[in-house]
Amino acid sequence: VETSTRPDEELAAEAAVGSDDACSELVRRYRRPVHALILRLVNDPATAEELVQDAFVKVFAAIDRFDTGRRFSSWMFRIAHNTALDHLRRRAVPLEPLPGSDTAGDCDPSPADRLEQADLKRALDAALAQLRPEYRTAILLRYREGLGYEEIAEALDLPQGTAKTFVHRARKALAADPRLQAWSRPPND
Amino acid sequence: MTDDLRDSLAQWLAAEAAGRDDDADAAFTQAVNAGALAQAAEAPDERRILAAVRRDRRRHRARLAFRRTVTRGAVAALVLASLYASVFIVVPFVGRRAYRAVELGVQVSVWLALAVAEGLDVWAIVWQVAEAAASALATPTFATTLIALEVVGALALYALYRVLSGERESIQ
Repeated sequence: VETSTRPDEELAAEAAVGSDDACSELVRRYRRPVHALILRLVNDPATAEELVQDAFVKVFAAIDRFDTGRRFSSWMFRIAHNTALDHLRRRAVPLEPLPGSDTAGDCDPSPADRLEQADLKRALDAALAQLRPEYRTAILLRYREGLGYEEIAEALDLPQGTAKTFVHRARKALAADPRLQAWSRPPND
Repeated sequence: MTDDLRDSLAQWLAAEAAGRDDDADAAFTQAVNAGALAQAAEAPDERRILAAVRRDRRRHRARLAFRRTVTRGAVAALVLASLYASVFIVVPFVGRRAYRAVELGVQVSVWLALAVAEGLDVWAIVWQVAEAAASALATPTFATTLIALEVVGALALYALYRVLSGERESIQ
């Protein structure tokens, strides 16, 4: 059976008995979302790269203890979140926005549009970097990865209601950031 | 794209300000789809991640092999100590005791026959026999052997405990 079409949990069960193909497929599926999450938490690309490797090492070291009745994505994100938090606890990492977000998906925008888009993203990045790590993870899992509240709750080891509150509060806190408030006015003002 | 992003962000901020939670949720989702929170750096290469995973697995296997060797060594030492104790201490001791028991048995039989013939009290006979048996067992050799075996057993158990707890930590 083609590995790319199989559910994560089945691949995890195969990885637990030593299948390299299953490991590769899981890495292929999760390296980007895990990297996106960790990068937003530590705000340093080089550190994020190391921590992504650490997170996968931890996942595959413990994969034989993964309960295949649960969602692999929640378990993976939980380990990634904890790996980043451990790093933040060990070092006092400054909460600064990421250097220059990419412009993937642009349809040849004008220089003025590009500048505006870069400003918008910078403002959002800066606001996001001010949130506490759990809020950042909640926002990213909900809106970037499209996870449901139940999965976010599992990933953050919280009751579902609390996960929902985290997402709600995080979004409110982002909206209240003065850098983003400037964008609430129409562009002609 | 820029207009989409700007518009959806403005809609989201307006919805948040008005307290329309569902609209805010939808508009923020739209803003993210329009490029907000886009990946700021390339994710690490798949091969590098897999190489790190394989390196860790090799290290883990080496650690397990080391712990297995230590466990086997501890068990072998325990078995050797037990064998030594059996061959050089327990068997000769038991042999001597058995010989002494037979000797005592003969003496006791003779003594009992004489005692019964002279009409001695049953309780006095039992007391005499118990006293003789206790004095035969309570010798320095017997006590030393027992203590030595207990010490060897305790040390072996402690070694196994350390090895197994190290194993548990490495898994965690």
